[in-house]
Amino acid sequence: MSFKLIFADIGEGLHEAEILQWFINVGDHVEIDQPIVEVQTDKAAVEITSPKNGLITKRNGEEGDTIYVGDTLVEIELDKDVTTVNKNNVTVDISEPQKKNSEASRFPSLKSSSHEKKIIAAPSVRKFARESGIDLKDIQGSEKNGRITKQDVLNYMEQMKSAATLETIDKNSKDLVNEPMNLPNKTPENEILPIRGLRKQIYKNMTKSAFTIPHVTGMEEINAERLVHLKSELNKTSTIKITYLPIIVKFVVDVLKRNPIFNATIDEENENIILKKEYNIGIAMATPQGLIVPVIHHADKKSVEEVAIEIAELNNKALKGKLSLSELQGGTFTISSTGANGGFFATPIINYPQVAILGIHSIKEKPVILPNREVGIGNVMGISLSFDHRIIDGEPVGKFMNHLKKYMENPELWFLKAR
Amino acid sequence: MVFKSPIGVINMFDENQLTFNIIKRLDEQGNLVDEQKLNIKQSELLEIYKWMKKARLLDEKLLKLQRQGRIGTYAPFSGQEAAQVGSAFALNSNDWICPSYRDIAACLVHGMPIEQILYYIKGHVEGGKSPENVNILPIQIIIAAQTLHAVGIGYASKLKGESSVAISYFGDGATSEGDFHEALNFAAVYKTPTIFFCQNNQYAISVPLKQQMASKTIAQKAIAYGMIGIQVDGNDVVAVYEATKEAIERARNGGGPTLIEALTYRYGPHTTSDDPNKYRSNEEKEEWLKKDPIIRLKKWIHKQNIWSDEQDREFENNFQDEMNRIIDEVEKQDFPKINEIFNHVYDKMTNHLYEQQMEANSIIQRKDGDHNG
Amino acid sequence: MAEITMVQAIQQALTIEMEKDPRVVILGEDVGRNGGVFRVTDGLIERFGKDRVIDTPLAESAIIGTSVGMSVNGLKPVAEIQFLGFIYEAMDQIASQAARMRFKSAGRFHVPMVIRSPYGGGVRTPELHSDSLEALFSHTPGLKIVMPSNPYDAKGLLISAIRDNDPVLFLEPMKLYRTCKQDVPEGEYEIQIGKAHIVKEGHHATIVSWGPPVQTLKKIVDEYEKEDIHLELIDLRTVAPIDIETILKSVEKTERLLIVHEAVKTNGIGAEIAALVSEKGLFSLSAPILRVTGYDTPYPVGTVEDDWLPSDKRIKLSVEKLLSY
Repeated sequence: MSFKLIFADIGEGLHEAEILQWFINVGDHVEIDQPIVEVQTDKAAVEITSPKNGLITKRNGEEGDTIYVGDTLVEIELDKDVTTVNKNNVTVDISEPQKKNSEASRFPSLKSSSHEKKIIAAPSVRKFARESGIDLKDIQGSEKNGRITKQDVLNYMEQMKSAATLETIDKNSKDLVNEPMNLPNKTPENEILPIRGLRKQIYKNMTKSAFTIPHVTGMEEINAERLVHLKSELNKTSTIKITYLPIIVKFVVDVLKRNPIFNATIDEENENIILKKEYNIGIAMATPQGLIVPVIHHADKKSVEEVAIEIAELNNKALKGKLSLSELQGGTFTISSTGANGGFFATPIINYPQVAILGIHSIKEKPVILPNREVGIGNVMGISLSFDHRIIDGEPVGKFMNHLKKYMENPELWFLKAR
Repeated sequence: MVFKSPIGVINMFDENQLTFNIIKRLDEQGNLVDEQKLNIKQSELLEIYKWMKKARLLDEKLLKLQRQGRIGTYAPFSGQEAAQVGSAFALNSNDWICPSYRDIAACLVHGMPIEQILYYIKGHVEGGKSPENVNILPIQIIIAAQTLHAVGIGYASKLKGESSVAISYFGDGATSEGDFHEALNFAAVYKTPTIFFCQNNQYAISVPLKQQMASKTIAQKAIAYGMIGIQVDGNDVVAVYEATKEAIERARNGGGPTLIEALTYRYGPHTTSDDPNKYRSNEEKEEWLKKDPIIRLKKWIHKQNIWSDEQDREFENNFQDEMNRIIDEVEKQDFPKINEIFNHVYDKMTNHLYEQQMEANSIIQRKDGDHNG
Repeated sequence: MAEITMVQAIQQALTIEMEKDPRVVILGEDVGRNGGVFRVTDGLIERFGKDRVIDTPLAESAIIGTSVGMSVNGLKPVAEIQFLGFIYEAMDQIASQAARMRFKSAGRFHVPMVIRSPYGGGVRTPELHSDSLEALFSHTPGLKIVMPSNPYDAKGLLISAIRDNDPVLFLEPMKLYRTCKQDVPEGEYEIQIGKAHIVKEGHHATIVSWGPPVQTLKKIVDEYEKEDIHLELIDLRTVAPIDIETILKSVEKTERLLIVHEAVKTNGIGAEIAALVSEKGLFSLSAPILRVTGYDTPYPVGTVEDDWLPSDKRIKLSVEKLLSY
């Protein structure tokens, strides 16, 4: 069995010594306490003796050389009967430097850069926010130095409930917020609006939708004469105001029934198209905070009047920020009306994970071809249908739009055919 | 000195008026100094010789171990065997020793096992734990602090009506510390059964005696406190034994404390981190080697025909084997880990210590590089 | 039950323990014939004799060092350091010797001694008579430190300290020696060392203190009570080891913490409490942890002493600040 005699720290913090004199050679037999070598340290000349009986097999360094604490002085092949285990040398361990573990992703709460906006909040508030699943970065503090109070967090949570969300947002994903919020203004006129709250969600949603779904938009002009007439007739009878929207909702429901591929959602993970059997039509609404899409559930089971009432209620709630989560979830198809002052066509972005969205635009007076083949003035509405071209090809789109156009231009057809 | 004042000459205490008498019994050639009968049996002297021999061999061995990295910093005592063995031999088994860090020979005689000495200098968590029946305090690093403990121990013995005495070992340097003076004063006032045993080995690390004090002797300091002080030839084990025995008797019989100054020499360095060549000459060491305590007793026991060279060699070899065996045993053991130290701070562990113990425990069980929470 | 002062309470504790256990001895300067400079040990030498009530030479290191020796050889010494400011002479014997004997000897020897010492401000003493030095000793593992604020606690805690198997530093607030009278049971009773006492319950903020300020705080807490502000007052009683559990539980309820001590601010025991609460109770806090303490100067002269100590005004200012978060 081989034994190494290591040069120990023999003087409280010694690092090295000079070999003065060897007393043995390789091949010599040594006994316990026999002198092996004399070394010169900073403090003194020191003699080191053999701890074991055995044969010298290796000798490291020549007289005049420097040896360092931890170096092997000699190797001894121990005599047969010698026990060797020394479990408790007092020499200080020169331990290996630790491998640095550079995975910062082990710690999700770490700031991703030193420029991240500073959050001022008491520990109890931070805990409350953390337990409620709120990222304090999304909140404006109400105290004068920007400090966030518990009440601020509570207010935000209320507001959150009314935000449009069809999926839970990963609160730790910071990839969209790349712009540091507190860069100094280069020109004094610029105003910086932090992307927060509802705007932030819309931001995220739109990005996801636009960059996941290959959008194509089909556009069509609708002769709206009959529609205009229908609407005014309905309003004579109805006690509540009927706009084009509830009418078109009902038309769309039937068209969806006949073109089921448009009333679907995508399951990306399993690569499935889920054809929905419910007809929950989302109605995009504008609020001061941003776009919100409350849903009319089971629009197929509701009358035009009921749809109209519901749209008005939802709109009211949206403006007050009082929509509940259920009112925002479950949509299968979305209609986005750009209103009286909107343009004629658009390229709406699909409300992920749905597969299509219908934009309806303002009715304008335009030149039309009259039945007698002359050019006259008529009411025309533009519609835009954006669809997921991975799922839906051009032909079904044409079919859908024709169908809808027929109903819109000849509402009595809907009376006849709709289920 | 004599103080001249306007009102006349006032005779103050004069060091020159003192008679200094160093107690000697055995000279360097191993001959009795005077006709006075020895107060010790031959068999006891032989035993004392064996103790001194063992102590010397152990000291040399420990120095070698240190150079091999197997023990930590060590303070060798070679040259001071007679002072320690002679005095410790006079103690009863229930007497107390309050040692410094250079008194291994005395502790050995008083019942400290070699294993325990090894545990201490190898940095074992229980290195300071004397065996149950051995009244030796843990090694004292703070110079002179142990002198006060010997006073308190003595006071307690007296109050309890017990006969045990306390002996405190310390060096010449210690006599400059405040605690030394406070201890002598207190012991003298309360007549505690305390022996203050000073091994004056002429140096406190590198500072020689004449820079340590202006007094002619250490023994005379006892007078200032109203107690007895004596000076002995520290390398004359017979003188040391007799003087200590007499002091012990006095203490046991209620006669109060004694200061014993034993003149001796430390052959080796202050500790294994020291180089004595920086402040001492080889000539000086040679002079003292001539007065070696073991050699002179060996000469005496030779003359008495109770010990031969061959017995000497055999004794040495046997003890070398015994030491090597004990060292091997100790080095095979798994020493306690850090979690053990928390048990010895208070009688009952507090909550905060328990928490820390759990933490220390869990850390030593982790592999290197594992930092996951 | 009788109404007695703290001096009398301490004397009772000493008498009871000396009666009960022949191993208990008292030693210090002027403790015997003079009965102690505050008369705390009055009458004891007549009752127990000069071998057990020892008038020592003027040597603090010796008083403690001798006590260490007595302790390892079976006695239970109650040593007195005449004023806490004089304890520096005995630093080694306390910190290196008494506190470490058990540790050094791995339990073979231990030091069941008590060091009693008067301290504390508000009584116009000369230099070094009023210093609060508990923080210096709390940094010494192996010691326990007890600081009662009233006669009832003083008696029970001293009895516990004498019975404890470890060295205990028992600090007696001079200001409260005679100004505080209280009903105290005549017989023996122990108060657990290491357990704090909730003097007043409340939910608006927690105030932790020990020693003389506790009496001041009691009055302040009552005043705020009238304004419908409910402060929880905790008398720590033992500053080493600290009863952090009681403090944490309180802070969990109140979310606000104020620490008041006479000792100098930097690295006072208030700092340790603040560190422990940050470590273990951070998310309970709705406000920063505040401390009202002596300033970071040596103990000042009598003419400015009252403003240096945690005064009524300073405490109230901090309370208001704390509540405003």
